[in-house]
Amino acid sequence: MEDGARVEALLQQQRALASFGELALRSENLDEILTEACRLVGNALGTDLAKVMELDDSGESLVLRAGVGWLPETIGHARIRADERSAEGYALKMGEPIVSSDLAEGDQFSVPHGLRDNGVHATVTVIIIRQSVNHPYGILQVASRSPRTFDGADIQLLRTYANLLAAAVDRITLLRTSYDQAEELAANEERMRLAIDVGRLGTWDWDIPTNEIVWSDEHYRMEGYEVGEVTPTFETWQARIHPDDKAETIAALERARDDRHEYVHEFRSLHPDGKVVWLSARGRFFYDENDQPLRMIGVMRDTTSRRRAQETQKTLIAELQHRTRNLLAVVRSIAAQTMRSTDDMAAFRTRFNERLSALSRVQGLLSRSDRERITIGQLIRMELDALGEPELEHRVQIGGPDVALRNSVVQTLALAIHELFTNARKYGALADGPGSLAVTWTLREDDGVQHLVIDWREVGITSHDGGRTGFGRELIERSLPYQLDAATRFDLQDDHLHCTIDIPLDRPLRSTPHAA
Amino acid sequence: MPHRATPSLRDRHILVVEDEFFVAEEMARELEEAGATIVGPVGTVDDALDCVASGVRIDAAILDINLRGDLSYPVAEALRQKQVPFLFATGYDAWSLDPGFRDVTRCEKPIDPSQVARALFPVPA
Repeated sequence: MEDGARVEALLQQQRALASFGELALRSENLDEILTEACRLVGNALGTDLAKVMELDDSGESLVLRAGVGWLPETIGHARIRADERSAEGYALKMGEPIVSSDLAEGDQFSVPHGLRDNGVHATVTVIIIRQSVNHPYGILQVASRSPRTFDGADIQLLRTYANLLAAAVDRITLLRTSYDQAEELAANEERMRLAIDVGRLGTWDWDIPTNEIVWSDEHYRMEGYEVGEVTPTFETWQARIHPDDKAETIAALERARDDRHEYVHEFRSLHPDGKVVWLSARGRFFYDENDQPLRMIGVMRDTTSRRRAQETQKTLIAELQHRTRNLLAVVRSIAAQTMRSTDDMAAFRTRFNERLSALSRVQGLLSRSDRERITIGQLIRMELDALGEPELEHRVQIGGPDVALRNSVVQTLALAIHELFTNARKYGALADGPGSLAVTWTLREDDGVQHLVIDWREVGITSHDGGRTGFGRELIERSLPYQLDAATRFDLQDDHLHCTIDIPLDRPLRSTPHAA
Repeated sequence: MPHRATPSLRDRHILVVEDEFFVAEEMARELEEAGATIVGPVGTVDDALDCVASGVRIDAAILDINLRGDLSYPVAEALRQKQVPFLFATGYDAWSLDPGFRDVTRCEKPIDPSQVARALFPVPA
């Protein structure tokens, strides 16, 4: 070769190397870099066959990673064992460039499948070592379809490319790792944000020395701020604590900080529009090496509805207690009254059981009263039925409009009606004889207040009133006026009874304000 | 053994505020048997306030807390102002009471007159 041509070829190689160096430093596409290296070394060494093979994770085989002169479908798939029997495996093992001059004439290496097909006669193989991990990445090999030798300059050039490739592999691996990490970080943040959002959590991250706080959007809303309305600080936080809870809430925070335990506290936030929100907070302090608090991180949940449910439950339980104990007191006084008005144990038992049954019926009715209001007709019908004597029906006339009753009226009125029916059956118009009973009711309005007027008429009474207990009469004449503001009349004659009960249905307006 | 006087309700005028007729009757009877003179009974906040304001002699009072759905605290307040001792006869537990009245003695219904006497008229030790 002419000197001039040789110099020109060298310069050509230098230019190719320089531009490849730039590619290897800049490109993020490893396939492009590897393929370009194969093309350039092939050119420089005057062949059209070059390849890069990568050592797989097991370290036992080499995979064709890039190349020129190879069928595209073999890229990424063709593999050979990484052992001494091949030039590639041997180069890897020795860590030295391996020149194999004439494969056709028999060589120390077995010829990998594919090489022969391509009519390969000579190869030169160098190892690619990643400096960062001091571990072979694979090999770079140039092959010739005609017998030839490769000199020191060829090997040197190949090694230069191999080193550039190693650097590129290192750089791109590192790049991918940091991409992956950044992606994972972003995915984590997204997961966190979603969890906070779905869980409706307010979060804070407080840099204590600078008093800078980062709030989640929900945190702003929980304290009655528009998102981003204020720059969060300790002061903007405590400004929205309910005045009644402020001192204790701040004290709890300080205790957690000083005693180094978790801050767990529930308090009310008072919003500018007067809305009160219950917040349950949980947070932890972090300290520097001098035990100075450095940072605090925490979450808050809105517990207003839970609190409200608790309040309601508390009221219901108190109400239930009140009713139960009052009911027991009523039972006790009915027992005492029955005892006073009966002569013997058998009579006591009968009357007391009847009254308890009446009380029990009305409790059953009351327990369903949240679904349907109890009407006066229902109450009267129930007590007539309780006599358990359908044949009496034709002697009883019942009639009046549908009138719903307040629950507070029902129990006392039911007991009174029970006494009236029982006495009618035992001593009155429904006892054996010709008598009959008419129970009618009407509504009247007095001074804007609706009144229910019950009219009870028994005629044809024949028996004489030896056994009347007076309990029913006391109920009507004293209990109904006392408890229900009712006006009552109880007119018992020899042969008839006329009783009227006039009950205001609406509560009269109170002159005193209700206590809370 | 030194004899200690047992507090008595004899000749004490006691206001009974209770909306349940039978309970009020029973309470009045128990207290009368223990020697007391009953004022009332009354069953509403308004009637009780009228009674306290009327100037009738009241040495002590027994109040139900829930009177037809109204709370009897205004009556308690009026009695406090007149320095009349009182107690709550109620099914409510302490926690459900107004915080201003949690220190008031509570007794279960039916009442026990000797317990009422001890609470309303403590004998100095």
